[in-house]
Amino acid sequence: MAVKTLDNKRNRLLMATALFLGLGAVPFFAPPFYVVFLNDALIIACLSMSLNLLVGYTGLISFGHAAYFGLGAYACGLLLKSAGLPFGVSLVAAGAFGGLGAAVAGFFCVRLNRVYFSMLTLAFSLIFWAICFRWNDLTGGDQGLSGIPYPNLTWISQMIGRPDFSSAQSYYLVSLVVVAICIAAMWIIVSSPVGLMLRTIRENEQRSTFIGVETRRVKLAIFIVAGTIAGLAGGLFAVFNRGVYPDFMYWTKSAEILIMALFGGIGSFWGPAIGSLTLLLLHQETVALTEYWSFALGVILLVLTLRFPSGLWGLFERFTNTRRSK
Amino acid sequence: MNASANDLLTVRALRKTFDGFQAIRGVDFSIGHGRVHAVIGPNGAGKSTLFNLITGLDRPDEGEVTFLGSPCSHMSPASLCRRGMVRSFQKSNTFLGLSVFENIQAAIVSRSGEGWKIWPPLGRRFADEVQEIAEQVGIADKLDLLPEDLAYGYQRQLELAIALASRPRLLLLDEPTAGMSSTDTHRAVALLKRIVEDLNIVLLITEHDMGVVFSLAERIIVLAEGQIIADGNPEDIRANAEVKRVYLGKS
Repeated sequence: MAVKTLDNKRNRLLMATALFLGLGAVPFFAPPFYVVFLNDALIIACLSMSLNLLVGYTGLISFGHAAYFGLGAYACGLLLKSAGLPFGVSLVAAGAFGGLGAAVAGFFCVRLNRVYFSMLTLAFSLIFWAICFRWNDLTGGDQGLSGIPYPNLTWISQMIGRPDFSSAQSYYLVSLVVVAICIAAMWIIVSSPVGLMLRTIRENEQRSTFIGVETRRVKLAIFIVAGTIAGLAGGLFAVFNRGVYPDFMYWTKSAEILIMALFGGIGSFWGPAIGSLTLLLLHQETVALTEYWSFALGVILLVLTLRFPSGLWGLFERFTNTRRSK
Repeated sequence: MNASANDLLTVRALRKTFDGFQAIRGVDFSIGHGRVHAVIGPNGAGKSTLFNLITGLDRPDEGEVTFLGSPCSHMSPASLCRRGMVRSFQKSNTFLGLSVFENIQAAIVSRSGEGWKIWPPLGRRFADEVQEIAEQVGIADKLDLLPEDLAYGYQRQLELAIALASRPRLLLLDEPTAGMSSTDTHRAVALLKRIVEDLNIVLLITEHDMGVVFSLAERIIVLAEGQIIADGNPEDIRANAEVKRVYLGKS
């Protein structure tokens, strides 16, 4: 048994490393178009995986996760554009602002359960959205914040010996490393003793308190972690797209991330990443038919809920018949 | 019976009202020595309410609960658990999506203060202790199953295992044999007797089954309409006329 576990662990680490290297190789041979697409996909995958810490692992269904993505995006954009801070500092600040926003909202949200928790996360996301939407002088209001200066990343292209790399190609590598660090951190958390405590809360919060778990504190902590990662993702996304818009944190965006996570499968670590990648590809393909996008999303959600509640990852596992584990 | 400083548990002048209904109307008792104490009483006598007040699930309107010398009516169930007051529930109450192994492991992790650690990965840590506890309650061959795959009697044993993993000084069991077949009940009684002897735990149980109560308890507290009407050893309780009238007489 112990040997098998060790093998599994080594295999997983090998597969994750292979995935990382494979993604790292993309800008060296793929056309820039794919690099741009994949950059956004990586960031959004990381975002929906951070939501899964709450939904899948702790049983906290947040309807407002995009708020922390948006807070990070605005923080990073403003610090780069208005304060002229370096990219690295702004990105760290994006995480900090996402975490701070989550701490404020989470302080109240974790006191409630089930649908009341969800409604309160939605309420806070609307408040954060309204502040950013209305604070014209700072955020540019409904026009958004455009013209965020692009960081100078020539040191990357020089370091890897490809001076011909465009800034987008170099930026992709930055995104990849930051996302990989976030994913590694999430993996460490869910595999740790804290991860098991999260799952006891998901399964039976009251029983969890009776084995001595301070469930509110644990829930607040994971809410802040998820918000911090969402903030980092927002910072990465804002700079790459050179703008932040109120849409980033609107409730429909929160719903979209939640759907991505559900679509991929919240019963697994990688499911939400698969879900977001698939939905983004689908979106890419139907982009000419924008009016059908909501329709497609609705149909997907319908089929998903009725036929495949464990998502794409659940289907995958059914076919490969691997043991259910998390 | 006066409370003394070295009592494990003292309940003093406890009152609780729900929407005008007086569920607990001035209850006093203490647990000093002795191994197994039982609270009995007809349905609606307030047994479960009393348990909830003692274990911090509900707050009393008046009165005080003292555990190991310190007042604990304001404490959360989690901090009471860490101090050694552990309970089980009337309905089977486990972590359904986690394996039997993880159910027990989780309680050990929490008790050992590792619940906030994010490194190293948990894996099969504490496997020896999980095994030991599972053997004590007789589910050692079921560690890889999910609770829902267990027969009802084993689910209750798992619940007991989770409680034991918290290393209780005082273990409150709410109807430990409720819903069990007579075979399971016999097994559960033998198990509880053995655990009390082996692990040096004080038990406070509520129970409907008088056979169970009289074969386990050294002391019986009889509750009726939110008040204690009798408190003594099994012989006294059996002989008590008022107990016969309100309770034993009916069954």
